Amino acid sequence: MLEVRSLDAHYGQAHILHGVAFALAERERIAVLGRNGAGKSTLLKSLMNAGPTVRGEVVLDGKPLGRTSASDRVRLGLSLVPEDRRIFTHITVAENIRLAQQGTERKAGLPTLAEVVAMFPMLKDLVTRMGGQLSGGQQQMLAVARSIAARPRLMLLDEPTEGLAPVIVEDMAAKVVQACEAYGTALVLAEQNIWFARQCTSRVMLLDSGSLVFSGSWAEFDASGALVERYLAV
Amino acid sequence: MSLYLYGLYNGLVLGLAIFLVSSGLTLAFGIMKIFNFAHGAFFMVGAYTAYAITGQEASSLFVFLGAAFIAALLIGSIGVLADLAVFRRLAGVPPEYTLMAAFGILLLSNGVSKIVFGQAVHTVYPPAVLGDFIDLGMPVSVYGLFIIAAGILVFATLEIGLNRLWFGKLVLAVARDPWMANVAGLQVQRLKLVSVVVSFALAGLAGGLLVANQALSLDLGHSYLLYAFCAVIVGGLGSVRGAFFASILFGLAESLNAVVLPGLPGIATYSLLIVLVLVRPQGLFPELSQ
Ligand SMILES: Nc1ncnc2c1ncn2[C@@H]1O[C@H](COP(=O)(O)OP(=O)(O)OP(=O)(O)O)[C@@H](O)[C@H]1O
Ligand SMILES: [Mg+2]
Repeated sequence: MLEVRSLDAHYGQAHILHGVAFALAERERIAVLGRNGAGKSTLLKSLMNAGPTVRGEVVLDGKPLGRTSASDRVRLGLSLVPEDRRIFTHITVAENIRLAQQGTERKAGLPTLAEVVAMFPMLKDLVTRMGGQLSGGQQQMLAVARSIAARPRLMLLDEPTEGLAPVIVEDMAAKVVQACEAYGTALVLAEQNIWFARQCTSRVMLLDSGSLVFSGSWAEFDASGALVERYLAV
Repeated sequence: MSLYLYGLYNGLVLGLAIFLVSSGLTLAFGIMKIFNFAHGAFFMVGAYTAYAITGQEASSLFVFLGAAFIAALLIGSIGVLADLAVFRRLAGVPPEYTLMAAFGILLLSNGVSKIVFGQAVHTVYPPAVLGDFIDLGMPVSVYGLFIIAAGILVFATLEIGLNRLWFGKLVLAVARDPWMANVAGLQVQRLKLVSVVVSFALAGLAGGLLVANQALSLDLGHSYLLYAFCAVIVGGLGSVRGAFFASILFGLAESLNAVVLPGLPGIATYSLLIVLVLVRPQGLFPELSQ
């Protein structure tokens, strides 16, 4: 469904991504690993056209997205969960979810609030709480929940485990897989937590200084043992 | 004693008059993150527009209010032009550019006003119903009470519109985090346009409502704009609630200043500004830092 060809991304003069290319099938889930500053977030934002200046092609269902704005990409079925969560603080948890659903401009097929809460029980007692009154972990949960509530065809998930307790990380992995399978959602997951990434995805890419240095299954990743040493160890 | 009471009343009238101007200014700040220098000029154009409709004295309250609404509509439509031609194109560049653009719009509207309205100074009276005084132990002008009521009404409308209506919550989402609003799929440009239009329309409305009992000239916007700037800063940039209370504070300070220290005009206003900015630099109701 998604094809990325020779993608270059810049922030002003800084050249961040260099010729990134990969493809993703319908419902497929892939992890992007890499050190701090490797360009993972930049890659996700580039796919969304939300920040970096992008050259190269992002093709969705055979159609190049070109300069399509982020909000129009939402309507094409993309959804980005940014690493800093960006929950709206002046509205409630329920309203944050409603806002994300409104952004899709779809009326049918979206889960109800009750269904979303059933999927993320941690939010159950929080629906009327203001977004600004959530803990970091609760915000993280809501950031993922509101993205799934929009029922995207492709979710771009940026380090959802950051700042979460280990039990919650396990729970989050189960939730992400469950939701993606329930809604047929494909996933590009930027992560540092290899365990979590492995739970959520079937394939993995390694990004180093803005270039892809590995792409393959997790078995292939494990077989090339030097990779972790070379590109992930500090 | 009644002198102080009178000062208090006058302060309230001035405060709510300031709020009529600062409400639109703070709204524009929330969306564009700049002071719209042109706000005072559009306030002035709104006053001239109302004057052009009513003449020296509106024949009835209905005509007076109608003229103010037409002024709001006209200035609101200028807001559409300003957004499409200028502000929208400057989204994403550093705010200094937008600031310069707003300054450009100010110069343009001042120049055009000079050609259209001329240099003469006009006197405008409120319609007869508002021209009266009633005796509440002291003579209180009905027009003053009308300004107080209008200010409170505008405040209540904006409060409900922004904090209770879903549409207002979306507007605030764009004001607070335009990047995420866009990434969440909201029609950011459309929501911004609405806010700019409301902000401009408020300038026009304020002009139409405050035109009476003033010397209507090209300088009309200056005095109010200065107070309004102070109120927006002290209230918390972008906060309507903050602008409301700060406007009243400045109105009271200015008016009581005239009673207590008639020899030192303005001293209370500027002291208040300095003290509040030092004590609460984030403003009374910090909107954007949340
Ligand atoms: N807004 C920006 N302006 C300029 N440079 C940026 C900006 N955002 C990121 N960069 C630079 O781009 C490079 C890649 O950053 P990116 O955020 O994509 O890394 P990352 O792989 O997500 O790292 P982390 O694991 O720490 O989140 C870094 O060198 C960073 O300094
Ligand atoms: Mg990152």
